[in-house]
Amino acid sequence: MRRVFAGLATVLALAVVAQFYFAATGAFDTAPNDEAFAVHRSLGYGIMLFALLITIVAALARMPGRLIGMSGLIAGLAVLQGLIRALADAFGDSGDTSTTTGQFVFGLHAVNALIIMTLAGTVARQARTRQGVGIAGETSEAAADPARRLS
Amino acid sequence: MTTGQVMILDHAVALLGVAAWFATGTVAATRRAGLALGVLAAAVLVTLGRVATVATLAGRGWWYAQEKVLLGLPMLGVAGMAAVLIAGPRLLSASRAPTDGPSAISIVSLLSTGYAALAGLLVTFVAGYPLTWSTALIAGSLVIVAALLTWHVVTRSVGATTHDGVIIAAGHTSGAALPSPGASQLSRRKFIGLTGGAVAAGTGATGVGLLFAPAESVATGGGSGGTNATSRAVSVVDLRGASTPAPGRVRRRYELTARKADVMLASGHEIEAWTYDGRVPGPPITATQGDLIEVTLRNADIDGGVTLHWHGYDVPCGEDGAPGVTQHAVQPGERFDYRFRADQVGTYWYHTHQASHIGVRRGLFGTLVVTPHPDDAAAEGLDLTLPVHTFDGKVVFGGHDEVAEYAAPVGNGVRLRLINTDSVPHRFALAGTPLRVAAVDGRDLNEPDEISETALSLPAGGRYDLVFVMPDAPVALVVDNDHTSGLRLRPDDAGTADDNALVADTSGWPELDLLRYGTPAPVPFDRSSDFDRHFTLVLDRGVAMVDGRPAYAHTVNGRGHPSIPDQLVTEGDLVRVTVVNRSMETHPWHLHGQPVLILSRDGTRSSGSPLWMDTFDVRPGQVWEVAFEATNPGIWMNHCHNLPHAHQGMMLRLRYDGVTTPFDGSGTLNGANRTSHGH
Repeated sequence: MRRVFAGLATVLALAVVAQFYFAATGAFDTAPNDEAFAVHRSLGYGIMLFALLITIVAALARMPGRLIGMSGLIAGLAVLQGLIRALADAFGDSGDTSTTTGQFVFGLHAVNALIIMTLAGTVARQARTRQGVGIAGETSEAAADPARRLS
Repeated sequence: MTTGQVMILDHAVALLGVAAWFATGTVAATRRAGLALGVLAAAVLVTLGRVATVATLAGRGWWYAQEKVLLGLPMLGVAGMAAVLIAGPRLLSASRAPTDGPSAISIVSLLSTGYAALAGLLVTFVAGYPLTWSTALIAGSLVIVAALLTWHVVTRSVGATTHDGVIIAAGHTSGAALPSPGASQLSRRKFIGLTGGAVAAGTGATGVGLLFAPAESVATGGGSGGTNATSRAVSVVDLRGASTPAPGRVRRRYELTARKADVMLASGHEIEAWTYDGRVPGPPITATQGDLIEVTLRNADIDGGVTLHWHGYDVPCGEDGAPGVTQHAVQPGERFDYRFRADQVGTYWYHTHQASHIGVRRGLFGTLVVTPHPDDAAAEGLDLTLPVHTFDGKVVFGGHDEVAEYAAPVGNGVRLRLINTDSVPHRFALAGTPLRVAAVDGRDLNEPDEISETALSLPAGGRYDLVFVMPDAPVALVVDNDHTSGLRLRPDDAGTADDNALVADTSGWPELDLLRYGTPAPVPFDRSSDFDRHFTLVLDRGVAMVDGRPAYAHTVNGRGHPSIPDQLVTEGDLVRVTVVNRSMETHPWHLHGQPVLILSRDGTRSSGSPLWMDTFDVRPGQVWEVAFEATNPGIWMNHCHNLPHAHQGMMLRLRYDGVTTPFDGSGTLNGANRTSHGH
């Protein structure tokens, strides 16, 4: 289960990198946003659902709370990505991100994306270091973690 | 505050609530009881704030708040109340006696409230209006599953629990044999897990099952249902236009061939366009009132097929050009003949209705202008038909992608016919002269007032006729505050000096409200009339089936094309339609075959000239009440004219009782070589 989680977490991190790529190709496309960002949008929904999936896998695999929490946070921030877009659109009458306020709000989409990428990278890295750690390793891991031993 | 702003505020508060409840649970798990208490108080305050925003929304219209009042808030309220009662006292004692570990049940109850808050928000964004049992059951089961999973993680990974649920750290118990109370804990835990899981699975499965319940295929709007008398049925193919012009008028023959072409714009920029006759816009179709317009459409190489739809022109249904409803799309090598009498004066346009979100954008459109007979009206000195369209991200105005210049005789009348062929509204500002909006969507307004320094927002698909007398100074028409495009008129005796410096900044101009513009006049019906049918269209976004596939769709009453029930009317019916926009995007609503009279917007009556429109912008949070008399039998598309929105589900049909179509379905989805749906 932990190996599965480590694998899925790596896929998620790679998907987030691909998402940056598709954002860039969309931005340099002259077609209207609806069409230019079609792949970016679809992958966005995909990442949201995938992050939810790995959160559930993490919970079932009894990964540390921090990892479960971070996976869940990725799902939450992915939802936020869509909300930022919708909010930025809502500032303009023309239904796109063309107003100044809309542009300022939409800038947060990129900042949030960086947070998501950092989190996805951290989750993937930590999951890989833990994939060999089975139930038997639980106590040694607890022993290695002073905060945990003290409590 | 507009309803649109309240909607945004409500989403923000809801999101803040989700964050606050999750934060409370997380802080509690990290054993900082004092801090957790503080965050808990904040979460409770945000939740109370949410009650206020939802109440405000409900006051603006039940459509805006239904799923929040019936599901989101009750779920959040119950979970939140339980969390406060369970976690509150435990956190309080933990903050006084820090030696105790965090209580598992506290963490679970706090995080579960977070799940409930999140589920409520997701229901709004994923399902929207109207709330169904299916949605409620699925949302409820997901919250239960998430709570159980959290409970599983919190109680097992950290360690065993004592009888009141306080966690004893793993280190304390791992060395010793499992105490006997632990064994009974285990079985109790198993029992709760199993029953909880069963409940969640049961409700979830029921909810998913209900998704497949068959929908109504027809909405009658309170009128009589359809008659099944097939003997009186008339097919759309028999609803064709007149074959002769009015007495003394002429035939106007046009041949249009749809084909791909590289078109050079004024700036030298070349676009790969889809065109009628190799031109963008297509050949202008003009007629004098009473003439017979005959158009032969051929398709050279547009693979998905093309049609001609006469936007805003109330042709007989068989000429309407709606593929899959009034005809098959014209495939490469095929032809279709359109014929109708130009009885309606004004500014209109034509465009393909087959995969129109691509075809129209790439150039398959042109203008249709019908003028009164010279005996009936004085012609203006300068009469320009100006479609505005975006190619490759650049606004092209009347065929020019740079500033278009015209000379106009001083003192003569000028008429500018603005046509928005894009999918989003455009803002126009005419600087240098007062003007009147003489006509909207081709139909004359009654005694329009003179206005100046006022901007005009033109809905996608809509038309405005602006008239003014040419002053002896330059006049500029600015589109979307962009001074690198648009139109410049200079007095005919002036040189070609660069007038751009003279154009004022128009971005701050207020917008004309057409509902209060012009002078009232008698209308055939109004708000107090006795309507035979009343339909309500609630526009939203959500997950729905579109053309047989699940999609994050633009929905009408929670459904996407072609699963939205047909609206059934009987010829002669007086029909009232309420259009509500619950989404955060503008929807230009467009009914084929008959114009609608605007009755009110957001409850405020239309108080100016009678306003007949075929495309009206319903902005986020707005409620429009419109009406029409069912006098043009047929099966008519009724859709959002933001064409990608229509493609993503926001499209339905208005069907006259007794009218049938042989193209139903076969022309749109199943027929060989006719795979794309028409709109």
